[in-house]
Amino acid sequence: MDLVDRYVAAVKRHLPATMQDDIVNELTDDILSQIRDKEDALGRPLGESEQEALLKQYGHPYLLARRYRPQQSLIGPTLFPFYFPDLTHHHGQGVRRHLSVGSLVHQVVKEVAYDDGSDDSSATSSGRCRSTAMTKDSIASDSNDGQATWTRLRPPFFAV
Amino acid sequence: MDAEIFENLRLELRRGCLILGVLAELKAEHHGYALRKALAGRGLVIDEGTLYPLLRRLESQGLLVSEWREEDRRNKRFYRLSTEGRQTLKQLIGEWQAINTSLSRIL
Repeated sequence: MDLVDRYVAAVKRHLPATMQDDIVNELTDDILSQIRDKEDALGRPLGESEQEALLKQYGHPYLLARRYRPQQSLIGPTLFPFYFPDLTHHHGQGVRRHLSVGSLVHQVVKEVAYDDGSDDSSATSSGRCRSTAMTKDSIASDSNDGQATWTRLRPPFFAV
Repeated sequence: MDAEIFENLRLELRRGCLILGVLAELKAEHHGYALRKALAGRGLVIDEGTLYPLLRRLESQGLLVSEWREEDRRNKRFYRLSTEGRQTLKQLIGEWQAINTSLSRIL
């Protein structure tokens, strides 16, 4: 199975079942068209490392898939200002402690899940540059959480 | 930190402009990759992770119609403005021009 198939399959796993095929077919066509354009320009087929660099520009499969989903949250921004004081009013200190433990756990998970990229020699500079410059367009409409760090996410998909 | 604030403001400013650009370019029919190239050719670079979800959203809002067709021996999805999309685009262009006029007086 070649690299493009593996990448697309990894994206597919994170998509809602009803739209999987549609999105995957379109994405595959986009990737193959781009590869073909590059090959035409170079006058030779792309090597595996060049394909890998190209796929890295598409970003982590999970993050790419996430952009097709509507933003989801249990308590939306409209209700949150009412929800939060109400919660702490009724349950006081316990809830506050609970929430701070929650945010601590969240922080730890983030630290583990998001690599700082310092030892990631395989990440191409063009990939990173592009991520920060352009791929954040729709990420910014998601929660801001982890937004600053996701571009440095190590893609386990590429691990050999 | 300042860079991050700027980046968020920039993306906010850009978001509506992208929609306007995509709708306007789809007065003629394009598949996704050709659309991306056409926009980039005019200086509006939009990455695939932004474009395809946006196209789906605009289609679900009834502003675009799409169909799968074969081209170059590959199946591609072609998008174009719907009748409703044309009307909306016209209104948005009016809005854009009004904003532009006011802002050029202010800036």
